[in-house]
Amino acid sequence: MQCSGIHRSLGVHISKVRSTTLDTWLPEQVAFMQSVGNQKSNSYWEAELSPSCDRSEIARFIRAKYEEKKWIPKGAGKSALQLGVDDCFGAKILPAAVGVSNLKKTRKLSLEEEVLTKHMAQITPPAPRTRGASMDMNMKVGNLMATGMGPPPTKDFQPTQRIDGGTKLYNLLYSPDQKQGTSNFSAPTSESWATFDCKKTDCSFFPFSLPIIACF
Amino acid sequence: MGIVFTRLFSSLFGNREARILVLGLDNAGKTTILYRMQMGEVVSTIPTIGFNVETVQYNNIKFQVWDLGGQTSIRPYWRCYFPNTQAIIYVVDSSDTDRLVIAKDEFHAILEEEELKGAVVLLFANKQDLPGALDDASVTEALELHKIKSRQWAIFKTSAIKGEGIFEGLDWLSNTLKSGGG
Repeated sequence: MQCSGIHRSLGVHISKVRSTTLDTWLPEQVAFMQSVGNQKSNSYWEAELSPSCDRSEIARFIRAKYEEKKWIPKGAGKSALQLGVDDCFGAKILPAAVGVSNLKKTRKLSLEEEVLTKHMAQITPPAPRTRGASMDMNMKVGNLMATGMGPPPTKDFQPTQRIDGGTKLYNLLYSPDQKQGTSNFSAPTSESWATFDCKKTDCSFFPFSLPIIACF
Repeated sequence: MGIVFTRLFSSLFGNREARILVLGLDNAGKTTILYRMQMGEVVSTIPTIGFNVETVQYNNIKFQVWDLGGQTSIRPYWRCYFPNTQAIIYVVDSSDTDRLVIAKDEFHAILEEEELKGAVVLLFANKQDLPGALDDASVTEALELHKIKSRQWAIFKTSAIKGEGIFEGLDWLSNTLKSGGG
């Protein structure tokens, strides 16, 4: 949470923060997370970082890492990582293992959700909202496909069953859109990414040039 | 009689109270604006899960300001706070051009709400300090504010970090509320 606060304060031109539990994700954002995990990402952003670096001043560290690009490879040109979301698709979807090193076991609710649930239980329960999904869900995936920004239509998306907990996000993301026939997206098995998790003090980042920071 | 006297006294000496909701997408700057208004300081924030509420005394009006979390899945809870609201402050991250469409849709959904029919609307085109931030005219266009009918509204360029524009907005709000709006 603290990390996400600092990242948010940088502005969306440096990094974008999305909650895995409270926000919706666009397919290209998910695809990016799949193609660039922590390891690959940090091998770019921290290529020149000394292991003895003092991380206690987190804010300064994050600024140096993303804003000043202090530790990117010397003489780095426009690498795939620098190109941002749009150019980082293609057939580069990596084995799930890349982004999975930090994954921990799924829990039913995130810390935030637990807090929220408790909080909401104390106040009036919400009346049913007239519009079904959030506005974010209304983004047309078809546009992305039309402009060639989407991932290659390697195979048809196979809908997975709804599963509790960590896979909630996955379902949130795909269920409305796939019904509209815009799901040429090559989706991984839910296990490969849906269990993002992190301790409060040790955020798992999936950052890139305009990094999306997965917040938990 | 007592109530009448209290109201008369309040109107003469400007002891009005107003309930204000601060809404907008996540990371628009709602919490930063709230504490900028309340304390005059920039505070370090984390994403708001739930709400923050503070009382801000300004221009003889006591604003009870509710800052509600803006993440996608907690936006549906905004409506729990709609009753008896005199004004909405809708905050937009002017540099987040990718999500202006979502900001527009959420905004117009709010305007449709029956319970907010009488609320005046103050918009903050926030984060003017960031590179690439759109100005108030561009945000007005992106949010299609010309479509607002039969409601008092205004938009101000703000930077919560620099403390610019916020109190100009509150001036407008207090004048509008005093003159009977909301």
